[in-house]
Amino acid sequence: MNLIKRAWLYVTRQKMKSLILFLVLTIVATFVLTGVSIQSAAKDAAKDVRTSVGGTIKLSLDMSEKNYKSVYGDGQNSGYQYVGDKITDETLAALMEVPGVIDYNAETPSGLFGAAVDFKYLPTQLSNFNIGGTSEYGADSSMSVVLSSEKFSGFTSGKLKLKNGRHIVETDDHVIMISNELAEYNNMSVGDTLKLYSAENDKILELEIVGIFTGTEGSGEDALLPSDRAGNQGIVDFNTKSDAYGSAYDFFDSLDIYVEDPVSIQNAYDEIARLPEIKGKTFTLNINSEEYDTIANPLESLQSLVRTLIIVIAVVSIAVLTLLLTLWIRNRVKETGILMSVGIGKMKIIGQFAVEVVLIAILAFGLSYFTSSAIADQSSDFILAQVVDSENLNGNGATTGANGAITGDSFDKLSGEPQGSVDVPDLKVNISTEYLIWVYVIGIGIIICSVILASYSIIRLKPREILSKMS
Amino acid sequence: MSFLKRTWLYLSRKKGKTLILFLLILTISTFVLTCFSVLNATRDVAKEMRTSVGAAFHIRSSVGLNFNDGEIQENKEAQPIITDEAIQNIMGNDEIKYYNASNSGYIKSDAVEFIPGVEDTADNNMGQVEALTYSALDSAFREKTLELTEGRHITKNDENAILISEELAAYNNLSVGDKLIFTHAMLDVEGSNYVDGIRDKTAYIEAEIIGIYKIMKPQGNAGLQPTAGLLANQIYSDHSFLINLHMADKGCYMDGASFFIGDPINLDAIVSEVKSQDSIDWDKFFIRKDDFNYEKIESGLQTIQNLVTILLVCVSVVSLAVLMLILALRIRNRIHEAGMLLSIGLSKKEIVGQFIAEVAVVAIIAFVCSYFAAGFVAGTVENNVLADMHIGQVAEQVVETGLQAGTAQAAYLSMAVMETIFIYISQFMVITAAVLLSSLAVIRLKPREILSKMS
Repeated sequence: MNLIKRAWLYVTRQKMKSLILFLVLTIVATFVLTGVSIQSAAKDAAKDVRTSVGGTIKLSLDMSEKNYKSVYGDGQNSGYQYVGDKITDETLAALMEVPGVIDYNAETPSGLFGAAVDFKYLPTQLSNFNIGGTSEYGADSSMSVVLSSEKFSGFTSGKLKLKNGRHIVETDDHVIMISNELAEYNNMSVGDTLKLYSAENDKILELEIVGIFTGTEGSGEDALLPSDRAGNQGIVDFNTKSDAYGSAYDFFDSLDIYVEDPVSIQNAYDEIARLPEIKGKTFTLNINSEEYDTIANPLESLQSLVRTLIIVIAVVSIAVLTLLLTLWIRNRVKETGILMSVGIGKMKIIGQFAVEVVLIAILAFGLSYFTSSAIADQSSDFILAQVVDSENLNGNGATTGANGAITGDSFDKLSGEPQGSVDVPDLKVNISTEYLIWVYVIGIGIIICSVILASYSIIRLKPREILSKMS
Repeated sequence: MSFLKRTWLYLSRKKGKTLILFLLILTISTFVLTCFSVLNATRDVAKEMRTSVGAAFHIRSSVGLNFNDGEIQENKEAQPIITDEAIQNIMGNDEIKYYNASNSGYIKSDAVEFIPGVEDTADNNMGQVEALTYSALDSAFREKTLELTEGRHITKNDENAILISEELAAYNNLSVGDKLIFTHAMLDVEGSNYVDGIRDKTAYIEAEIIGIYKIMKPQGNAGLQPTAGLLANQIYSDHSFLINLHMADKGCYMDGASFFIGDPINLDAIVSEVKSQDSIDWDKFFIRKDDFNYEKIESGLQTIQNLVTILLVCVSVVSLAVLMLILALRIRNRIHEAGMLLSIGLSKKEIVGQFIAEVAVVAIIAFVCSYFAAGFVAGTVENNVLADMHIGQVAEQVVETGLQAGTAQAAYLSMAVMETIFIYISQFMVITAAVLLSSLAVIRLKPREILSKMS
């Protein structure tokens, strides 16, 4: 009778013992598989956190004196003018080619000054007095000029929230976003047109209101000038600015370049610095990942904790398996003694034990794939439910807080329209077949090692010693 | 021979088996304990992470100025004020760590010439003062529009202390430690000129420059500003300074107050609790919540925590299952013994008792050892994983002392005593149940059946 057959007979006849071993192996394998897949899901979640915090690289014009030339022009426009390199559309196109760069935005706070022609600014302490060169339309307020308002710092910092309408996008021309306060004060709504007087070239700009935002309330009632009050500060597109100031000013002061994962921000920075469109020009580059830096450290700790947990799980699983198999073999001293006394080689006996366990293990590991997949599915559902839950709660809170502001964070990139639905991160706990293969290879390796080790203490005895030991 | 004596003999004679059983229980309980302490640590770390983001809410008056056909009723008396009493009521909530109330006014000095703005004259050469409880908590400093470069921040206990801008310091050759005499002023308009609205000066107060700040983001509309409106002329002071200059009343704050909490998860609850207090007339004030963008990281953070929880459930279930299966295996291997004991007339109770006592003795020793083993593992993890974790945020020391300082390190991987005991009791119950159940399967047979089964 060869050892495979004996192993088979043992496994099939000792049904209960085989079943228990089978269950233990299934559980341990399921456990390890689930653990590993949870670790990779946690890694994804951490990446999700980093990505949603993001990081930016600021590309600015070098405003130091060497890049300025004094121009003595037509009275009002006299002064210094920037004569260095400019950020152009080619620069933008080149930037988008850099791996890791996902978006860019330009914003010039107080980039456009204008007086209210057919509406009124919210009052401030000095808004009734025309002092220091104000026009016939009264005092100016300052507008921020942006490429895409969704990425405007006011919105990304969470201070401002879009209430009605949509965001300004790169292709917009002569549009404006105004505060809810200003809209209510003047009875204006999305779709209306307002007129701004720009003193620079003595022009009246007609701008369509595309969006109304909240978040300016309660700040600036005690401001001095209309332009000091946040509620008076609108957001306009760059085309409007070019129209108001002429083509001499048709360039961006600075550009915020968005990097997908703040971990790789330095690489993106290096790549950008090497671009022929950037290198050697009168630009400066700065990394801004402050928001990420605040959470980077605890986030990393959190990840190492999860990693530690997985390592502990793996070590303990191996330890338990080894101990169990030792126990299993030690209970078969008698059998070993009998087999030895009938003249079966030590190798064959160990072989039989190993084959028995491996037979069971193959089945158990196979089953563990399905059990761990089931657990993974359950986990995914559970997490998804929790996340959606918290997003909803959060949405409700913000809605009551900010007069029904739209809280979904996603906006269509082309039109700037809110997409409505909450962006649920695509998180899945997955059992990949790769993990399964590892479990098979490592698991069987461990089994064979522990069987050999456990058997050795028995095998090294002579049959007579064994039988006497059995008592 | 009592069953306890038999237990002792079995354990001491079958040393190898006892040792393996001991190691198993030790491993599993150390494992469960470690995993639970790691879970606790992730919870704490997640909390630290939220706290490092922080949150705040701001109370501002909603009826500062009346909009009558654009005419402004410059009527400070009618403006609602936040009182010290209202602030103390709100601070009654333990979750709120700090408040920062503010007042404002204008000052002049013979010793200081303010940087001239639009239509500057000797009469309107004045600066705006913002009186704060803690200047480190002011939005301009938190958002890094301004950054303190010399000296320290204003704290609650300062008296007649001020912060000035680098520009103003350079313009007047001032430095930290200088003491200057200021008087009150009021920005007003006469005809088409900015003038000082306070003609009769009655208050002169000496203030000390305790810090100098740098303007990080230039004021966008600086070209339109009168002298008093320039950011470079802005002066931050403690509350007593404006009170001493007769420009504010003690315990009254006209420019609102901000409240800072540690954990943004509590923001909504705290705000609704504050709103239910009637020490503030909510028709005249409103609250703005500010979670410093916590919502952006919320879902990811929560996912990680949920994953750890799932892992822990797996750990508990698996550990207990493995323990049960192993004990079942152990008892099944002793059918022979059980049959013999039965046949020499021992009661089933005694036999089961012996089996349980054996495991119980081993388990108790293993539990005690696992307590130390888990402590050792936790210590190692703590040193390797968490040692260099430090937390950002407006650190408490900075707020309290006004100085920039490092942060302290807390112990994260510690176990609650109750939790540890709970884990031990659960394990013990599972062990006993497992032994009991598997023994019953053996015991319910008659000795003859058992002996024939042994074969």
